[in-house]
Amino acid sequence: MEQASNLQTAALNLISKYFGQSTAEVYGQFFSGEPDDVIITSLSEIMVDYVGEEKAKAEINKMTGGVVV
Amino acid sequence: MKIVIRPNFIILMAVFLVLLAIYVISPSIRIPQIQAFSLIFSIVASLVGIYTSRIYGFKSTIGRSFILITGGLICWSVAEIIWYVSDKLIEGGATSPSMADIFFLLAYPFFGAGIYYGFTMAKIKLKQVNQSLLVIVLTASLILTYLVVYFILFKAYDSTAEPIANIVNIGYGLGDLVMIILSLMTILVAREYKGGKLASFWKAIALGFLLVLIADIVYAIYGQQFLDDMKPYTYIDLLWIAGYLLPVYGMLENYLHVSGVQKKIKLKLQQRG
Repeated sequence: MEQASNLQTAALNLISKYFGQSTAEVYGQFFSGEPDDVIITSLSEIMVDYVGEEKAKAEINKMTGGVVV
Repeated sequence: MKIVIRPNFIILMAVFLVLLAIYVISPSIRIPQIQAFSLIFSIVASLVGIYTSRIYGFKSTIGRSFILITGGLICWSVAEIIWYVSDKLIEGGATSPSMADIFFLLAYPFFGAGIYYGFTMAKIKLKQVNQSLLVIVLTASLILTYLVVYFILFKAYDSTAEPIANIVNIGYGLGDLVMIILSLMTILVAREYKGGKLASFWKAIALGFLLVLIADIVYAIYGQQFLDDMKPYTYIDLLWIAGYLLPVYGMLENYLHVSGVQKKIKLKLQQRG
């Protein structure tokens, strides 16, 4: 079984926090084997729509330590 | 600024306008069909709440928040059912205090806990909140507090009434004070998610609470005219009904959004094979 990356785990935790466990489970399958940039792009997309640009940036920056976004 | 009017909002506005027309046309609101409106919409709000909470689950903070707020709506539904049934079965109509009052009051701790979860999750930094918004919201809260204390709490105690009646009446006043604080918190949470779909839920809850508060204050002033079935005082009922319709709107919007997100990603997974 493929080992989930730290970024993937953090992204799924963030999705679970805002969208609930069932959405995080579906994204778990989608993120599996995907590179970090795809994970970040998908995460940014749904987060901006749901919590607004400002909050999405703050949450994703916190998650990545400000490295990616 | 681009203003988007959602289909759900149009439907709920249409429902509200139909209700308004019925209240205007009907010579009395003391008929079972009209009295059933609050009951029906409280049940609709509870069912939509249960349906929406399911999609989030109880494990996540947001899920807990939705479930607890739904718990408050269920308490109001139970209270409405008890009130409606007892009003129809007891000669002379429903009396107060009753079990209905207990369930109306029981809703406040549920709302409080649900909004507390939502508030802590939003991690609001007060220094970053627009100062003008903060001044407006705090001023409105102070005015509402004054009105609740003056018209509801001061009138709540009656030395000739039974102790339980005094406890219930004071409970309603305290509940309204709690609701002011909760409205303030929900406005701040909604602001935190500015531009996002989640904000619509918190805005709807804040507006719903504010309308219920205004209805309670107006009822405290013109309660006798309302009980005497006089217009326009009977329209107070519409504010309470709006207090049920707004959470329905907020929850439905969020349910549709989150289920849409799930569908999209499932479709991508299917395409990937």
